[in-house]
Amino acid sequence: MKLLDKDAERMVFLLTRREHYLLRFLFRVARRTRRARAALSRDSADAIDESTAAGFADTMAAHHDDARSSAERWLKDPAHCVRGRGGSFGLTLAAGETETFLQAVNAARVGAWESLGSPDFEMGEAIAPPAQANIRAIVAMQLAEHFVAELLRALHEKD
Amino acid sequence: MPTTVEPVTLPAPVVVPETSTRPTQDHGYLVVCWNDPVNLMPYVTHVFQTVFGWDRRKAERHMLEVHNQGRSVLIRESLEEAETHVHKLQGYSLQATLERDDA
Repeated sequence: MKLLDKDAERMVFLLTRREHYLLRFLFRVARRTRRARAALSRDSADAIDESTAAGFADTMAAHHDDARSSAERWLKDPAHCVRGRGGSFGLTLAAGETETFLQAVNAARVGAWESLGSPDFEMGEAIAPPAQANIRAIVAMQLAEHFVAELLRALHEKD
Repeated sequence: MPTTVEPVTLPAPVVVPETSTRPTQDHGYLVVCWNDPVNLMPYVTHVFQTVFGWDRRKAERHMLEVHNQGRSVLIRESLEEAETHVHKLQGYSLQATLERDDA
């Protein structure tokens, strides 16, 4: 994933055929993150009642679903993603769309991490015994980390 | 001899319309971001820059506070504004909450 062009309105990325495939794989295997159920408030129960918190959680879950659906759609939409020579792709995202794309990729990473039991790697917590699903989640996390890093690099590159 | 008592007119009771019990204009709510083992440090910095419009230095200072101390108070504002910011932060999959500032 390489930034080809950038201005105030949009960003254009070059995706190799493999990167295009892997992004679609990432969104396909992404689980809905459970973090959306986190309460709006941890200790001010007087400010937020349960129904408000539940509504908020639903809103967040829908937000993450929408971001992933949009990112998947852009990868297939010829108006956003054009196949070039050699099988590579040119992905054009408007400024706000790049943020949504970033959110979708990161949410996929978080979802994969949750499916591993939310281990704290810094604390040396081990991943559950290897299984096909765990291996897929580990691969998804690594893939997402790569794409998050590339998107951040592009977003902060000077115009 | 009886004295004349002037009639006293009590003021009419002030009825406050019950529109909401939530003090939306009270700038006494804190937006707090909590540490988590999954989000990458540069990602958290980027989110703070994007959501609050902070420069990189300020965003990194709060990111490091989250990382080292477990949480960082990001901003103090009204309930509505705090809710909006918590929504945005959670939209980026960060662990953000709001709490009343009783200090």
